Amino acid sequence: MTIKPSYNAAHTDVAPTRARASTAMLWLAGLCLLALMSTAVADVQRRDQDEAAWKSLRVEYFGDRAIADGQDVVTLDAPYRAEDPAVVPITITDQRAGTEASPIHKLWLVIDNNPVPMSAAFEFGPAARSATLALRVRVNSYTYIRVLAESSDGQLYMVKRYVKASGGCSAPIGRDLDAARNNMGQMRLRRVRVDGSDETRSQLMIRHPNITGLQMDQLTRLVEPPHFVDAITLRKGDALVLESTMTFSLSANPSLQFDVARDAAGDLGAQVHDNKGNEFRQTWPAEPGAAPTQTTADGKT
Amino acid sequence: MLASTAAATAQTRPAFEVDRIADGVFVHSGLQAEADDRNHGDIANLGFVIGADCVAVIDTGGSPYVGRALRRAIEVRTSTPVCYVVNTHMHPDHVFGNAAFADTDARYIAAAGFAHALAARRMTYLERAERTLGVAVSDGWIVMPDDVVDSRMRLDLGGRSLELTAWADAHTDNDLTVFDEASHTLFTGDLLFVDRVPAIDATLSGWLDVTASLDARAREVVHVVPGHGPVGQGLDAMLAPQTRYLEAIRDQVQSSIDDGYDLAYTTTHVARGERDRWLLFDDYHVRNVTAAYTELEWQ
Repeated sequence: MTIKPSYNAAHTDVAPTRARASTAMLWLAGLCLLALMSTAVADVQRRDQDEAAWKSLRVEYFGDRAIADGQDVVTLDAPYRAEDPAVVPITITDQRAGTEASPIHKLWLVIDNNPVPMSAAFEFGPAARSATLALRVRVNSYTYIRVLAESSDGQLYMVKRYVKASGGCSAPIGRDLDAARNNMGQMRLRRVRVDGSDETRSQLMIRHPNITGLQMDQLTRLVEPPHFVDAITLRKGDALVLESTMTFSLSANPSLQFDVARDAAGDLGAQVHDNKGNEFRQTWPAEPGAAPTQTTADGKT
Repeated sequence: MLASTAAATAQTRPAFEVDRIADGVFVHSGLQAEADDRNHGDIANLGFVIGADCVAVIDTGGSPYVGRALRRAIEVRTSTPVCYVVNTHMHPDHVFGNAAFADTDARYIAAAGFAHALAARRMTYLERAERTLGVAVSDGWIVMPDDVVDSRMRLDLGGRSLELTAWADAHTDNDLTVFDEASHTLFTGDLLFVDRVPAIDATLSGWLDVTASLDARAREVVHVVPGHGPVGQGLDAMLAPQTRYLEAIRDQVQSSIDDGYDLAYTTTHVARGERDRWLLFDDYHVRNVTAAYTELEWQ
């Protein structure tokens, strides 16, 4: 194709309309005022404001229950500056596992400034070795990430981390949306190593586009409706490892690391539900002594 | 914010430096830095090619301020009109100067995936520009192409032609190269980073495939204008460090997955040996590894 120089060609303006633009700019200006206040001062002010946001969330989710500092109960690892806001790896480590202290039986994950802050809730059963978890989340703007932990004696604890990342919920859907839909519900189970030691955890990988509903196609003005995994239940034999509910704060192709009791017998079963009512089930036979790298999900390695 | 814009405009504008790298071919070298309120987003290499009838601009910089400076640099060298503004891909540091040419008759040209990719990231890009550059942004900063390149397009500038090539998904899903046949100059866009660490925004394996295709044409090319980093000669040698980095990530992330390491561990342990070889490594490397991991873990 050759285009000849055309000095008089009409200039096509495909930019969005001015009315929409000015509304967007007002909103942007407000949003960005804080960011423009320089550095450390703005950071502190911002965090104070974020703490204020939590105060109302706290009442909404936990009423007037006492919440103790949880730093000796669970640790939350998250990158301070998340390089990819749509895939922020976080790890929640249960420090009570293997101790005499009252075990953690519930966890909540709150991402203060995400569209739906209450991002996930987990309840652990007898086949869980600990309440340790790792998952990948979306972070929509600079925010505290909080983990609340309830021990079986009814005590509530909290830890938090500040994470700098933005755009995770509105990040464009992967170009392979059709592929993601075709493979939706495909699952794999693998053993993963989390540090230099031989310590391993189980990782459930789920193929799912996990659409937030905030990823607008600016050309068509269409918003892809939300479609995300909203519940995961794991059992070892008949015993519960964990049951959980979640929102689109989980990244596309959700990944969940968990810790199964060493003495729990039987197959591992996963039951995954999404907000459109789809249900996916898969079972992996118990393989004592299986190599850490073995993939037993769908015949693929 | 408006006050700071006015202040910036009132300052004496520094001369916009461009180098003549061949007859009628000029390049402005962007800083090897992140965009901020001092550099106005002048961090990418920009170019223009002057023909007998037309000037073609290749990328316009990270803000209208930079685009205007580029336009002045053109206007002091020639009275030939700018007929084309070509964008090598949709990243803000390459396209936010487009608005500086809005009142000309120039046609904006980009690869087929450009409009969708830019539209989908519009708010994020504008918000980030306002935060990092410290100026008020507007929707006028978003300029969509008038003409789209599906695979190849020739632009006749009068006495010389440019060959535009759109590539499969690589650095982004709308990478475009510009080849000036008269001087054998290749503008690679961000398919090539020199010295500055590459950033994966589409697919690692695709980028390596496209690199191989570019490398196969190395003999036609004399001058190479990378998206970032110094202009040079010898395309194959200029591609080599980037290929080494991308292959290191691919191979080591694959090994890490095969050995059962999780994402968090992998991001902090892969290809760390490359750290001293690149500028801005700490700003992009973890994201590159994350992109590679999520791309490879289901393969």
